[in-house]
Amino acid sequence: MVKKFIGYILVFLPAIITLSLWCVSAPLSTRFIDTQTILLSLGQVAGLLGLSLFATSLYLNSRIKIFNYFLTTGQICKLHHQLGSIGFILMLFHPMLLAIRYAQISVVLAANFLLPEHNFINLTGLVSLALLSFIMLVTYYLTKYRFIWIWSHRLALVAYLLAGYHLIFVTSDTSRYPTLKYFLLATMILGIIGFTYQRLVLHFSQKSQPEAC
Amino acid sequence: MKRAVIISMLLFWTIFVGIVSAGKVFQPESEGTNATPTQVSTANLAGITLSEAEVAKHNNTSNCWIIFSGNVYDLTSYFGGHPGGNGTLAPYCGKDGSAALNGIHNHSGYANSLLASYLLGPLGKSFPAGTPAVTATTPGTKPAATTTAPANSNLTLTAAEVAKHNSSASCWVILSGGVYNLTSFKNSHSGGASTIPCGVDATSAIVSRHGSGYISLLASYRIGALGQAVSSTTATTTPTTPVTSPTGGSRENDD
Repeated sequence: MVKKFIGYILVFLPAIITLSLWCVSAPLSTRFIDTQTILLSLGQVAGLLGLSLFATSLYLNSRIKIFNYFLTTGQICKLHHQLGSIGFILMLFHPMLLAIRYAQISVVLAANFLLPEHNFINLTGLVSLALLSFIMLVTYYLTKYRFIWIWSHRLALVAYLLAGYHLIFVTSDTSRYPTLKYFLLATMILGIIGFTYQRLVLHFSQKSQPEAC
Repeated sequence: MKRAVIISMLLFWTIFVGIVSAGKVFQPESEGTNATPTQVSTANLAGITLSEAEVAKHNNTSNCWIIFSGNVYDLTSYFGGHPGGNGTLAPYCGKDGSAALNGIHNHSGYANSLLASYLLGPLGKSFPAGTPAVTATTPGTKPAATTTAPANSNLTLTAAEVAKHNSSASCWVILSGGVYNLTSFKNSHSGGASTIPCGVDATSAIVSRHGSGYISLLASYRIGALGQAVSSTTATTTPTTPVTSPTGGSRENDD
C-alpha cells in the first residue's frame, strides 16, 4: 500500500513540480486580476501541465522497471492511458482558453492567433495538437488495425517534438522563468528516452516484447 | 476518459473552426487591426484633462490609452510591437494596467524607457485649448533614424548598396523588397542589437520571429524599395512617417 502510494507520488511528481514552479514564477495575485488574466493564466498552466503529464505518460509506456517496483504493470498501463488522456485534454484547453481570451477583444485577433500565417512557433503548437487529435482517434477507433495503431503512436513522437519546439521558443512564462522551461525540457527528454527505449531498443533486441498497454 | 477526450476534441475543433471562420468573415471589418492608428498629438489633447473618465473613452485597439502608475500613456501606435502580442495590451485599453505591468511583466529598462516615449502626462493634467502642434519629440513618434549616407548625392537601393551598411554604426536591411535603415532602431531593439542582421535580407529572420505585420511597424525606417533610386537625402532624412500597426495576432502570443 505504501509502495503504491509512493509510486503514485512519483508519477505525479513532475506535474506537481511544474505547477509549483509556475506558481512561483509570478505572484498569483497578478495572475487572476480580471477575466483576461484569468484566461491567460489558466491557458498557460493547462499547456504546461498537459505537456508534463503527457511526458510522464510516454515515460510510463516505456516499461522501464523503475515504476514496477512500486506499481503493477496493470496499474502502470492504466496510468499511461489516464495521464495521456488528461494531458491531451489540458493541451487542447491551452489554445482554447487563450483563443477565448483573444476573442473577447477581437474575433479577428483570435482567428489570427489560432491560425497564424507567419508565426511558426504557434503553428508548431497547432500542428502538434492536430497530430495528437488524429492519434487519439486512431487509438480509440482503429484498434483492430494494429499496424495503423503502432504507426500512429510513433507519430506521437513528432507531435511531442513539435510541442517541445513550441515550449522552447514561445514568449511566455517559460521564457521569463528559465527554471520552469528547463524543468519541462528535462521532463520531456525523459519522455523521449522512455519512448525511444520502448520503440527502438526492445524492437531491435532479441528479447520478447512486453505486452502493450 | 474516452468520452472526456472525445468531448474535449469536439469542443476544441468546433471553437477552432468557429473562430477561424468568423475571423475570416470579419477580417475586412476588424476594429482597427489594419487601420492606421491614431497618433498622439498635442493638438488633439487641447482642452482635455487626463482623468480616468477621459482615459476610459480610449478603450480600443485603434485608440488605446492606458494608465500605468498614475501616468497616462497613448499606446495606440505601439500596437503590434509588443513582444507579448496585441492581446497583452488590448485588455487594458481605457483602464489602469498598473497591476499587470508591475506583476506579470518583467520589463527591461529599454521597455520602460520605450513606455516613457508614449507618455501623455500624469493623471489629472489639463491641456489648455490651443496647445501647440506636435514636435519631433512628441510622445508616440518613433526615434529618429541615424544619418548614414552622404548628403546631396543620388543612390540606387541595391543589395550591394545595402551590403555596405553591415555594421552597428550603419545598419541597413532588406525587408520584403524594401530597404530599411535600422541603425537607430537596432540599439533599442528589445531582443538585443545582435539579433538584427545588417547588410542583408532580413525578411525571413524577422517574419519568422515576429510575424509579417512587424515589418509595417518599421515603416518609419524605410528608405525605399529595392532598385529604387533615391536621393541620399531621402536615405538620411529623419523619418517622420507614423509607425503603423501590423496585422493583429501575428506576433507570437504570450502563452
